[in-house]
Amino acid sequence: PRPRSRLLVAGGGEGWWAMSLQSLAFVGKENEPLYIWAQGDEAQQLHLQFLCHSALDVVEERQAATLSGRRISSSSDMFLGQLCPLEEYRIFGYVTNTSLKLLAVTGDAVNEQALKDLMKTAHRLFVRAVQNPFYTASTAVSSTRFQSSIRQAVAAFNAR
Amino acid sequence: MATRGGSVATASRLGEQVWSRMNKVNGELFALTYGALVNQLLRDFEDVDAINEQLEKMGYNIGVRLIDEFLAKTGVSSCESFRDTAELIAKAGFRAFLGVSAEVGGWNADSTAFSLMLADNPLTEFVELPPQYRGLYYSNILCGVIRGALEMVQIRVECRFVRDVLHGDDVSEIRVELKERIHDEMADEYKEG
Repeated sequence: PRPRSRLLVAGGGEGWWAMSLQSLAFVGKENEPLYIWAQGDEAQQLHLQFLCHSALDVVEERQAATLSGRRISSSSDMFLGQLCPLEEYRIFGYVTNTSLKLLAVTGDAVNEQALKDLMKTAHRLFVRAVQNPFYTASTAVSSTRFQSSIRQAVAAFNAR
Repeated sequence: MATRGGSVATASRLGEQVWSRMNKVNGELFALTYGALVNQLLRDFEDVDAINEQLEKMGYNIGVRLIDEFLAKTGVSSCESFRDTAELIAKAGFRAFLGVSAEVGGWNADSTAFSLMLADNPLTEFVELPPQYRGLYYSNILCGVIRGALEMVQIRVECRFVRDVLHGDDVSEIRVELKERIHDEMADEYKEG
């Protein structure tokens, strides 16, 4: 059995319903969680994590379907779009050719282009964080610089 | 043509010239390679002080060879004072090999010790030190390089980091202290009577 990696979850503030993006999750190749940002209190965060987990199956199906034969040449290919509605949320997926998966959970309808840009930015920030020689591959990302950059990017997104 | 190591301006100009003519390597590759090196040392030694020492030794080995290239490329023959040496290291040496200049400051009363202030360090481009490696001087190799290079021109110094951006300070500072000027001694068999 795979060892459980310690997961880092950062929380958001009050009035979560007003903001669109509820959660942004980074999941590795073996579906190990690398970093999750989520809104709300503990219970809310756990719930969102659970949703992300369920969405992973859909991601895998989509990954196989969309990319069979085609090569990923840009982030437009990596963005999978809306995966499935789950309860009152929508989940969007993004897969890279190293099988890094990004999942975004949103409340109401969102500007897909803006979300795609956000995921591209998040991907770029992640790449920078893993270039830290002290980061061990496939473990939770504990870089404070990365975490605050993600928070900022999400805040900027939610503020539009 | 030999030039004397002189003012800050001369040193800066030399540095720029050499830098422009150097073969460049990708900065990311450089930073990642150094990072892998430090990482491997961490696995081999585990003790932070031992690693600092190893980095310094490696730097020393680099420095003793680097000085020849530096002297050949810049054409500098000799410095009039230790102050000139400092400027040359900061403005020409660092600029030529690392692509960034350092500032010289913190001179002591008799001009035998100074500090090199580095705002930008290409070695630490992606690095974030985890808390358990608090005492690690990540760029300690630089201290060794300075020590090795100066030893080859008959100057013995001690270098150490006193401030480090990776530890939260706003600049990285290397303290360089002159210990002695080495005079080549003739071996006994050549001495008269």
